[in-house]
Amino acid sequence: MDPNDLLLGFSIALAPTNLLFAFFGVFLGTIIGALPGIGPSAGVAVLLPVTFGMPPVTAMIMLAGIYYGAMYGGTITSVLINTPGESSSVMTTLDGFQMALKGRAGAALGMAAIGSFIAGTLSVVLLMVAAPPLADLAVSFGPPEYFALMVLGLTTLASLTSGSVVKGLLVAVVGLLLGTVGIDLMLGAPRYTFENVNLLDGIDFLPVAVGLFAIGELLFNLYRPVRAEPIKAKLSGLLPTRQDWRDSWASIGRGTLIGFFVGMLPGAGATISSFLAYATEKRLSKHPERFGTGVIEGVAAPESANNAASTGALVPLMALGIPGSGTTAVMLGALTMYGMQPGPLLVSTHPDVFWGLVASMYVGNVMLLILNLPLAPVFASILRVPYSVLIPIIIGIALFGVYSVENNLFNVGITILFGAIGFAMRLYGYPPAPLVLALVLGPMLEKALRQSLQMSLGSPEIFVTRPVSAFILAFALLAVLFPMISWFRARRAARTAAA
Amino acid sequence: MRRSAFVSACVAAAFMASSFTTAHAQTDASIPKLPASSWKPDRPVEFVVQAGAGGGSDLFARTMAQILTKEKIVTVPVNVVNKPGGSGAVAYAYVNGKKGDPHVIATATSSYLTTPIQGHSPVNYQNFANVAILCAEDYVGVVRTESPYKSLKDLIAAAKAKPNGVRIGGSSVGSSDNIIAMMLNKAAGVKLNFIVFQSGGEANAALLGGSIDLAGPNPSEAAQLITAGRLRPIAMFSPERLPKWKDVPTAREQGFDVTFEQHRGLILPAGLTKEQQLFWQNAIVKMFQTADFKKYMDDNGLRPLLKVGDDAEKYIAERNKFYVEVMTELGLAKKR
Repeated sequence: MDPNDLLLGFSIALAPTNLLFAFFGVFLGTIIGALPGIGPSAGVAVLLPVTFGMPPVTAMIMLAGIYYGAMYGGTITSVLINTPGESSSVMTTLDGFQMALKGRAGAALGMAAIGSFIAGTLSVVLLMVAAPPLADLAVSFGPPEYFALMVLGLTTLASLTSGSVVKGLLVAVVGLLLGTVGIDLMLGAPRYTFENVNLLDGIDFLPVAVGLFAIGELLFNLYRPVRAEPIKAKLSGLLPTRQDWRDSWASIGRGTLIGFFVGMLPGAGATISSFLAYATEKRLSKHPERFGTGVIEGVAAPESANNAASTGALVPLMALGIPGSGTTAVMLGALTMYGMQPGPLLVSTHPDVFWGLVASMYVGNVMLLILNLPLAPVFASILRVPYSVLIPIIIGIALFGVYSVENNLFNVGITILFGAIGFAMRLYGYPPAPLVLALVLGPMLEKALRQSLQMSLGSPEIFVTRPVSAFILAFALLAVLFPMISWFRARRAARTAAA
Repeated sequence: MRRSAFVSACVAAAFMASSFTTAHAQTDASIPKLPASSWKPDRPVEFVVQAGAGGGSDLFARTMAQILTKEKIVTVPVNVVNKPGGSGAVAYAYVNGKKGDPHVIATATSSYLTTPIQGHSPVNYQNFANVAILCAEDYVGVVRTESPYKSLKDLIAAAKAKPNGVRIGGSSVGSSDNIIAMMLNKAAGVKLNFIVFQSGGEANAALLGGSIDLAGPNPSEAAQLITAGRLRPIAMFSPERLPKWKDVPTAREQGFDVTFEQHRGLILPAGLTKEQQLFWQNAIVKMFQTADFKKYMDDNGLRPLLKVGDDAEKYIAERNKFYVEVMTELGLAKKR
């Protein structure tokens, strides 16, 4: 890397117009992330036409700003109203919402903003210095490796929720079943679609998540108020404390690494990285039993991971022209629209675009920190609004958001249906997070399994003969066995003690 | 073994002769002369795209919408509306519900024909006015640079030696890659191992990573990876060599009669008057001739293929016949 390249980048990123559009991007991104029902990929898609007529580099700066800005904003609804704005924020709801119930919403939001800033900035450094070799690493991940990664993801499901493990696994199975709906990718046969064209692509994550979390939570609150009284804490007392920072910094570091490396794998992305980051923290923690009750590491780790992942996804896009996520696929389309051929030559043929974008991401992350840190208490003070006023507004925004993604009323129906299911689940103590995560992971797992077996003509050997896949699978096995062994040990120790 | 290979080669030859030679080569588009229309739209036009924002069809629609407005060919606002889902089934069900409404127009590519053939859509091409075909996409067979295969012949020889040993990847069953794989199997009497990915991007990643041996993207999709020395083109699946890719031989030249193109066109709801249809035909022909549209086709490696009105209807009916045969061969056509 030539330092002149970065200077060129900053000279572009700091031009007044680009600065302005970077700000628009991160600001709109924050709002899009905060609105339940609209994720970053829909946000980028909806705002894509706005960028027509802009110079390509300005447009890319704005679109990328929306993308990583949405990762900051996604925290807000997860923490405040237990509603993930996109699949990568599901993990944040587990501890974030509990923190909000304890009146620590501001701390959660503040720490998420700091974690996102650190993760965002560090991963831009990685993108800048090592994009081409990292992209080669990413594409060397074939279907068997993806399969192993998904298995690892699923084995951590049980550990994700506090409360009954059986109930958690049960809803995860329901999520896996829901994930089988739609056209069978390998054979083209429709499964459980009941001749309805809207089900051909399967059940989308977003309406299910908004239904289960937002609507379900709100209905439950009407039935049995958890938080009848609006929060009355002082604004100034809502920022993270020194203790919070001491608890979180290592989690932020690990979340960044997990997020970046998983995020750059095409198709795996932010969701599974936030998931693995949370599970890692819980496993490494001295007090794993407190996860799910509102610990700050449970917010810091997944929030750092999903932010790092959004930058990681730019690695294969910029270095090879291969989109790593739904959002980067839209950005790829955008590049083509501006008359550029995305691919390995982009960095050399359009250095202004690549370096301008990289530099703007440093600037954008600073903007987001400045924007989000002081705003954390302001957002948190939304909880001062009485629930009877807040609920109808949130339901309205959520349903509008779900409709706008595909301009399809069917998804609104799905949202309402899952709202009712979410209410019942809440009533009987079934956690919603494993369901939506299994719904996201299931189809990816199935795809990778069947692709691998198609490659090996049916022999499962392929999973153990490829070193990376064998390594990840062994790790997953350990993840399952370890708690069992320690449980047996504890029981034996208890018996000997009793005897 | 030898006998069966011989028999299947004969069957393949007969099959090719009967159906797979319907590729339409048209290098300089002949511009049809049309009478003027007395009708014009009086409220905003809804331009429906059967895919999400940012993809090829979306770019196609947004480019056209922009030109139609900019050149004042259409004087009312033209709003692009994405209706993704069900490989086009959702969008076309929606357009079908707009019977008799001349303020709706929609993009249509191969999924417009293949989705109904697979029985996934309640409506098919006969439920719409197939107003125009604008261009066609070609396909190129690529291997990664580290691959031992220098030509399609090498690859086919390896596939002959080891049935299912050579892997070809593509997006979804019934996609262009799947059809090309099947046609190669037929033409060369081999069995390639087809592996489905979720998108062309994922297939390209798998190709670069060595999980698959061959992929069949559009030349423009693969252009940079080829120039950067990451991918090697081994065959063009067009009837003739492409002007921009003169040194890439066609599959036909290498002894495998496999040609495939995918069209891009526009459809209108059924039940429009003659004048309303004529307005759109005129508008499309005018739009097609603009420098902006030529640049769009050039940038995206699209071959001009202009057909309007009855010609477009005829082309679509022919393509449908082709796809019915192909999809039946792939075991994907819904049995009636």
